[in-house]
Amino acid sequence: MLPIPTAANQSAFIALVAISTIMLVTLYLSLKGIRKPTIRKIAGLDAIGEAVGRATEMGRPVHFTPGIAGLGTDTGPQTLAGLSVLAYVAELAAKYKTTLWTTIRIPQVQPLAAEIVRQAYIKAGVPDAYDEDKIIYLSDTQFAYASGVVGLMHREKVAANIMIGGFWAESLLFAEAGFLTGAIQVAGTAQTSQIPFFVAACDYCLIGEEILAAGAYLSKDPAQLGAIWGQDYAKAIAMVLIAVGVVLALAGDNTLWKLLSGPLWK
Amino acid sequence: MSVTIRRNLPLVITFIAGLLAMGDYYFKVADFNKLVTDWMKFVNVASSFAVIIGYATLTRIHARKIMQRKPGWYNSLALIFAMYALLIWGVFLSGGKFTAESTYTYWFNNLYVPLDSTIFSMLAFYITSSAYRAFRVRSAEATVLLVSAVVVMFGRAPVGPAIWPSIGPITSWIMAVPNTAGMRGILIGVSLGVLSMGIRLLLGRERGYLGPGA
Repeated sequence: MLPIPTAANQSAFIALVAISTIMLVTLYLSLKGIRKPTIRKIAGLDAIGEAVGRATEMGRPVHFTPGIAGLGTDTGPQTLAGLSVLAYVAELAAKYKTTLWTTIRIPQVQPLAAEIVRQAYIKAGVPDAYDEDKIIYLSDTQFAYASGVVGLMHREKVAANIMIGGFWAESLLFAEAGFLTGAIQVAGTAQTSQIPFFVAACDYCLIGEEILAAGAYLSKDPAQLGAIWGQDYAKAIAMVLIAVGVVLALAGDNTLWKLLSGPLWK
Repeated sequence: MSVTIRRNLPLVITFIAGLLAMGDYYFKVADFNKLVTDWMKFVNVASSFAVIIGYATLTRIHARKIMQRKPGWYNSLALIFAMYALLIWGVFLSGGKFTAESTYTYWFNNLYVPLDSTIFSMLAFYITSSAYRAFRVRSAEATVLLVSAVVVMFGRAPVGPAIWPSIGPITSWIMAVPNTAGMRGILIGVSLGVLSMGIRLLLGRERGYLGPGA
């Protein structure tokens, strides 16, 4: 007998299968060129080139952090999104011969980040310019890492500060340190509690899902764009469910709520 | 190792590991769940070795700073001393108590914790300065932000309800209705974004984390 999802997860499993199917179909259509999805402009990602260019003109370094989220947690995708952006930033830095400092809090991210930056320098044709000491693991502890980043930003007088990933209370410490050094700041996180700080303190802010679309936006890979296109259909379904749920709730009917919270079958 | 294997092996491992983790969440099958639990233990042990890489990087960078007498080299010396002193004490001299050993705990509580709190407390000043910049009235949106922020600040501070008792419920409404609605909208977008990214990762289409051109 095939295993069935646990009672509490049945509706979530069905939603997962349904939305994944939509995304796989849109990914396939895009990959085969049957439909070419476009992605709206994301000002924050467009500004990264400007930020690195400005740092180059000023002869000052760029700082990048992929946040403090562990890879094995539910916030891990934010770190992976940050690393996708790091690949792009490192490529620009290598091309412009600008110093790039990458600070790391999670030990497991250190070798990944080092390899990404190394590959970027190789791709840009300047492998000798790669300096492994510029990808620096500071501390596994939140505020020790934060103080290390703030100190580095002040000492090196960074002209561009790019922060993409999962951030918590240290977000504003970084953003204010960047402001004090006069850096152009591009930040992005999916942590709803930290988005207001980035919006208030940074020049450009990627909000929520925008950081997760960064890889697709920067690579323009049709398959990745296809999966992002599928997200729009999933959002439309979510909006319809919210509207129907509100109407039913106002009418005193909790059928939809029961359906969504499960169990659906024994 | 050939280029093809080097390129595809991480993608295959990602695919298998992703399916195992998803299956473990949704299905309760004793043998399968035990397999995933053991796999996760292996992942934890394997990833712990990354700490050694972190230690090695820090040691290399700061040892070089000390040897070359770069500006602030004495800070590097303090860092290396503190790092290795606590490591040696916690691992080798704690009599098996590790971080629960009294000398280790004393130094941790009296050296690290106050420094940690100091850094955290700086947030109060940073919030004020960034709020000042954010609340400057430059557009209609900034005006809405300013007005709602002032109302919420007064509502949350004891002085607000003391002057005007009705500000408390207004503050609660702003936080519970428009603020929560906005946050949930972002959360729905993030959840779908994570799912989309998960599919791309499992299929090996999201390769940015493997480096440019991967």
